Amino acid sequence: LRPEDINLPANTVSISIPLDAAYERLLRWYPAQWRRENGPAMVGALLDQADADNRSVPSFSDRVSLTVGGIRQTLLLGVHTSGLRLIPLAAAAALSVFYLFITWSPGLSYPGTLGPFSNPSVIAAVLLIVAFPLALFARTRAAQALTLAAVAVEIVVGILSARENWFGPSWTTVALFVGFALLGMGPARSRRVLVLGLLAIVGVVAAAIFGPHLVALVGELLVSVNPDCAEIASVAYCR
Amino acid sequence: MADTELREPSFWVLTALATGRRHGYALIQETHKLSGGRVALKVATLYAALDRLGRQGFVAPDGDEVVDGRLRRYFRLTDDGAARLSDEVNRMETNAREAKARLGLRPQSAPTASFQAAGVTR
Repeated sequence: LRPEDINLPANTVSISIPLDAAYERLLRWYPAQWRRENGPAMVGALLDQADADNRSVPSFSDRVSLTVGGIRQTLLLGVHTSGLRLIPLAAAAALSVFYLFITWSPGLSYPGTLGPFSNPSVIAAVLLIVAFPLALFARTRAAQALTLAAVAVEIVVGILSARENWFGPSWTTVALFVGFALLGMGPARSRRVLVLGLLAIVGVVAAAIFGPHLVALVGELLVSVNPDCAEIASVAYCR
Repeated sequence: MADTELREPSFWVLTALATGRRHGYALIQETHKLSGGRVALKVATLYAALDRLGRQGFVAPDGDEVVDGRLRRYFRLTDDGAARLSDEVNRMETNAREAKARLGLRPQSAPTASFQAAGVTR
């Protein structure tokens, strides 16, 4: 900033930021890889342009274009490097938002509640909701750390819920959270691994939902066609 | 011939590089001049365009120079870039020829007289 740009008291000491430093600061909107490759050349061109315009501070349009350009490149880099990872992470984040709604139980007094929520797995949900935009903006390490923490929290809460009889997540819910999170946490995976992983998650959930019904149906069929079989508690026993 | 047309900034960047290597700020100046002032590239926009054109193989870095402590990165047009620019010029010429031919066939209309003949009043 130049002293003449703002009205300062006479005894105020102003700190002037060199133009190249100001531009480098604006380039922080760009991903680190882009800055390494293009940063110095961009700053050189920006300084050339500032000289031609007789400016000593970045123009408003420079600020806007570098901010927008940096965000755009960050998004593009995120999509290029972890497009596949974003799919399960987006699913995990969407599931987490839904989970926050269904566990919202203000006034509930029961073991295992956490504030207005019915169980502490909302912590995992929040971690995954934060991890998704980080992955989207190519903050891979931070996204991975949060996702790993979410997986650990979800498993611990799942075990505690089963042991302590909390209003906690069912094993199906734990499988969904952990499955999506683990698929989204690793480095950019092949399409085949991703599809197989998603199919495995769908299979586990389908087995959890429809499995007992299928067992009961098979039992009924066996009993109806074989007089030596008897159905006890939805399970067929045959002599 | 290429399927999609070049955006105007990309077209002028390739055109500016057709006569030789240029660094970033020189490209900004030249595209502005060549386009008759219509294209005023910002540095961020120029480097995004150069990155895209580089990934398409139409331009390539051609060395860095340090002048007055400032890094100047030069870019050159590749053979693929020259072919792409040539395709684009041919496409524009074809379009212009068609448009000119159609304009030559445009009937000389007299709207007021037509309305009166059809009995339309305003």
